[in-house]
Amino acid sequence: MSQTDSKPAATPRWGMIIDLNACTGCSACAVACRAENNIAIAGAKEAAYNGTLQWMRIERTWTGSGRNFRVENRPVNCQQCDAAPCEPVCPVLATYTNAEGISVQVYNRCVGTRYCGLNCPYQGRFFNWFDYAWPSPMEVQLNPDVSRRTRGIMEKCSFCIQRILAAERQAELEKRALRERDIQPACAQSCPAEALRFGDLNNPGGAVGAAWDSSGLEVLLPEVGTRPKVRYARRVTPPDSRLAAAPTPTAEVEA
Amino acid sequence: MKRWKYALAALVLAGLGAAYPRLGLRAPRQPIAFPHNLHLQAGMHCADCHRDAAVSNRAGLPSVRECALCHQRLRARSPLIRQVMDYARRGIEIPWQRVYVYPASAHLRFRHNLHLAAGLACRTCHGDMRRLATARVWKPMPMGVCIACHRQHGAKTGCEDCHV
Repeated sequence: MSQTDSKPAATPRWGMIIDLNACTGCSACAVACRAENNIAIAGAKEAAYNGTLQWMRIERTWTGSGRNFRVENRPVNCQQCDAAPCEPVCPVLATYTNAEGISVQVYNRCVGTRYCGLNCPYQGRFFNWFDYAWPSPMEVQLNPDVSRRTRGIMEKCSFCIQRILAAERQAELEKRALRERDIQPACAQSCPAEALRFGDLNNPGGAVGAAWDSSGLEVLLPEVGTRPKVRYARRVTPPDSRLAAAPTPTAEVEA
Repeated sequence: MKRWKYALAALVLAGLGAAYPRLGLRAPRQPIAFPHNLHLQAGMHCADCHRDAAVSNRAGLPSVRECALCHQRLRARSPLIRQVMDYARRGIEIPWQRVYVYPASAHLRFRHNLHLAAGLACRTCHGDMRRLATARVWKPMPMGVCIACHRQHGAKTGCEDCHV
């Protein structure tokens, strides 16, 4: 790339922090993602074969019982790994990490070997087994900025790269630096609890950049060493005063 | 020997004929033979009708009501204009056929506004429409053409920048 003057001095590196304390599991992010990114609805029959396409999903876990019963809702999308296991296995280089740290999927290059999907430990990749239909009124809401994937290609969360590109180009047209607040993926924008925060990791003053290295954050499956750019703010349960007063010694208070 | 040469020539011609539509030099049949040249010679500009080009991904087409604004009076007796006015009276948009089409498998999102903002003229890609009546693809636009220009002018060349 020869042009450097029109770009900001530091290339942004996008990341996301998902606050599990704030998430209520309402699934607004999943719906917004589906609408923004033209994700097809595979239908009940395909869902039975695990063939649904869902870039953003809520993983629900139940822990404890009785008074200690806890529900945890965890929104899971592509974790945008720095060491993405999906990328080196693609025989046609249809997926790679771009300069801004987003693991992109190049639909026109994908030939559908599905190696990437098999290698993803987070189940963040989805294969188009068919040309899915958009029944008549639904095609009106298709996002013109995002392609409609066709049969035989893999798709995944792109951190709403179309919005990032649009904001970058708008900044370029207005001859100003890119503002972090101009960019929000559909999931973060739709979250009523503001549990999903998206930002530039290279910007230490930003909401995400400042909190990125704090000890309260965890990553999914740290043992596989993928170094995701999605981190979760660990759920903190305040000690329940009623439990402390209770004489039962079996009560496990999560502090 | 001579017959062999004729056969070869026929084969080459047949190959060219087969390749021609694949080059993307489309000239689709339009419901009304819209004369671009006459409109441009009359002093109109591309953006007068393709108004979205400066602000949107798509260049856009005007509604038939906008055609009717001028043609209610202007050359109202011409048989083609009568057809246009007929559409306008019935409140039906003219089913124009797209000329510049990329296959769905390209997953391409071309952005008119950015190319205009970068200072490209319409004719750089679409040719000189003052010489052309109904629109047709002026020159093939494979990805190499895009990339060559992007490299020359230092524009982005990542896959994800266009194939979103």
